[in-house]
Amino acid sequence: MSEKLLEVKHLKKYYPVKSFSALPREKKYVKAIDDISFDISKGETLGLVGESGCGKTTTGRAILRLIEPTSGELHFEGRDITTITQKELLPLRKEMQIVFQDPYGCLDPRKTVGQIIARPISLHEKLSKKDERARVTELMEVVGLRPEYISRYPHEFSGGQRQRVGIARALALNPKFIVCDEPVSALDVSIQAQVINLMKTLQQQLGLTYLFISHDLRVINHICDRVAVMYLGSIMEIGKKEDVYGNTAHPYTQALLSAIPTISENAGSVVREKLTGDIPSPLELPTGCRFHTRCKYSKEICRQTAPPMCDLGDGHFCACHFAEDFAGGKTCNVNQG
Amino acid sequence: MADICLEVKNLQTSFFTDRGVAAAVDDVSFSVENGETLGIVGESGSGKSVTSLSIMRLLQEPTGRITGGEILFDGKDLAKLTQKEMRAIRGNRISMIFQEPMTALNPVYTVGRQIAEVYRIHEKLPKRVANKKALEMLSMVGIPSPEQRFKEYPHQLSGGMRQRVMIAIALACSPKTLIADEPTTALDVTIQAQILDLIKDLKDRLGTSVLLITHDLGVVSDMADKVLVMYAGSVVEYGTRDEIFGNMLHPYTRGLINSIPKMGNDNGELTAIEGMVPNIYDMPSGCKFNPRCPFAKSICREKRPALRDVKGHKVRCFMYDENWEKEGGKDE
Repeated sequence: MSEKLLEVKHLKKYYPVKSFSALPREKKYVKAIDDISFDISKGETLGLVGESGCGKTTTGRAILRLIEPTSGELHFEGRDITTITQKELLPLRKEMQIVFQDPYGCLDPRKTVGQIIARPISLHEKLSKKDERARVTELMEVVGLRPEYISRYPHEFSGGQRQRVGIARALALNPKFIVCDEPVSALDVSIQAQVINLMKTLQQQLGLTYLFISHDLRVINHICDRVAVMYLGSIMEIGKKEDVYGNTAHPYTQALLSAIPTISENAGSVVREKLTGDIPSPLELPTGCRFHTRCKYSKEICRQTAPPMCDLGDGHFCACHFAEDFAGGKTCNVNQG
Repeated sequence: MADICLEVKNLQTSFFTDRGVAAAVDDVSFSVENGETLGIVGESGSGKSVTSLSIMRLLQEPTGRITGGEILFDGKDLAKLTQKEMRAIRGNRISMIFQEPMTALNPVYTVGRQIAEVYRIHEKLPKRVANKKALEMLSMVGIPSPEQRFKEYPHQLSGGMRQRVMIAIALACSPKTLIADEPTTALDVTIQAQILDLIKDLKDRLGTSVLLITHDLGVVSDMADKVLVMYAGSVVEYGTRDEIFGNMLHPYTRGLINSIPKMGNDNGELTAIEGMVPNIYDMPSGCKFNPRCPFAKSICREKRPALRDVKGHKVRCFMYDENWEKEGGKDE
């Protein structure tokens, strides 16, 4: 077993909701992340997949402490980073970077690409102007941007190129860990493929560890080693890609996989499993299993008790009462706590 | 041969801006038969949305203008109608669903009123009858507890529900043609599957023909009878669904398919299409795809290929010319 780079234990993020009533009553919370635990080993890519509003982005940001978690523990390279001050966190920022979803919103329009990429370097490392420039040019070459573009502004670039700038900025300090928050969602398919290839190559060359957040199961399948499926703030299923995609244990994962529009040569050959209804409001989570309102297998027990995370072996976990039945004959050990 | 419901012939749409003339749609022709779904695929900037806006005559005039070609619908050429004449057709005989259901709906009116408006304007129905029909539409598009939803405002509905309301508005007058411009792009996969099924189901029930515009080849493969692939304003490949997906010919179409990560366990490199979509003010000479094409030869840089019939469908590429083998000047 390789070394763990990041461990997340019982992470929670609750947002209090303002009540407009004069009467004192129970305080309401939006449970954006509700008790999730996972870890990421060095050099691997963990995919975090789910529909909008399931808490993927919040998780990504809470790990970097860009959002303060409500409770839970975060360990980075064995060190507890949950409660250390932002000042103590500063040297660690070099190790942990983020690539954002929107390549239009995450670059300062009034700074040149060179300035944008140089910013983390000038903050963390005291380099001479010349060395700094050399580093920026090198980074631009690494991500496939022509170094002549160093004094251009973000608006002069296409979406794919901007995302490359964002990646270069994240790489500037040789980080160990990068949170990739939907880095290709805003791009066209042909450009998306270029960026995915780039990210995979960089990972191999620089030994990076990724937390790759996406709503696209096809992209996750392509780039990740392990996958975590989130629904309404909690992890429904986590495991090796082969297990989650091949021996799918959770009905929600099954439905997600089946909803992907696939290209087939014959019309009408695809039979889809439809998921009815909408995602429930995170303000009023369903009782019991949070997926039971949309689950076609739901039984009485699902409405009453929340399923425990059960261990299907080999790092494959699933939060479903009937995981055993779905996961092709695997035995399930209920793991409390 | 079924009746042709909408026929677009050599459509040219250009935008006249300070930076020059942008030919957003360049000689596009296709036809849609009654009850058929035509999928238009392409990346951003390929002209697929401008094509639909031209048919609906919703271009920002005078900046954007139809500069040539015909749009034949119901025995009329839509390209030549006045806006007043167009208003009687739009939303009535031909209607449209947009990508962003939040911005397409009016936030200050209830959804019921917005659906009833269609009947009141096009069918001149009194308020009570219009409301009743609007309520029927709401339940037809599968909105739970329609009586209650009728009185709600768009912000109270989820994205999928809003798109259902948009579909209800678009189909209120049982149009002959429905244009769906990226109807599911803003939605989650599970909701996308629901909406696509709804469109398919209503299309069959009402016999509407659908023009489905999307960037997602998966959606097209699932929904369309015929497929039109656009690149930089031109049609590069056009044929029946089975022809295109069973035997795709144009290097761009193949590149698009290969760019999509496959669901198998193959973790190799994705075969991306190199480079970017060309600048609309500065199109490459010859074939518009030649700077990104792995097969380009010198003829591709000199002449613009015509749309030709190859193996049962139309392709705009020199590769299928009998003289192709003899052409020289392939890039290293």
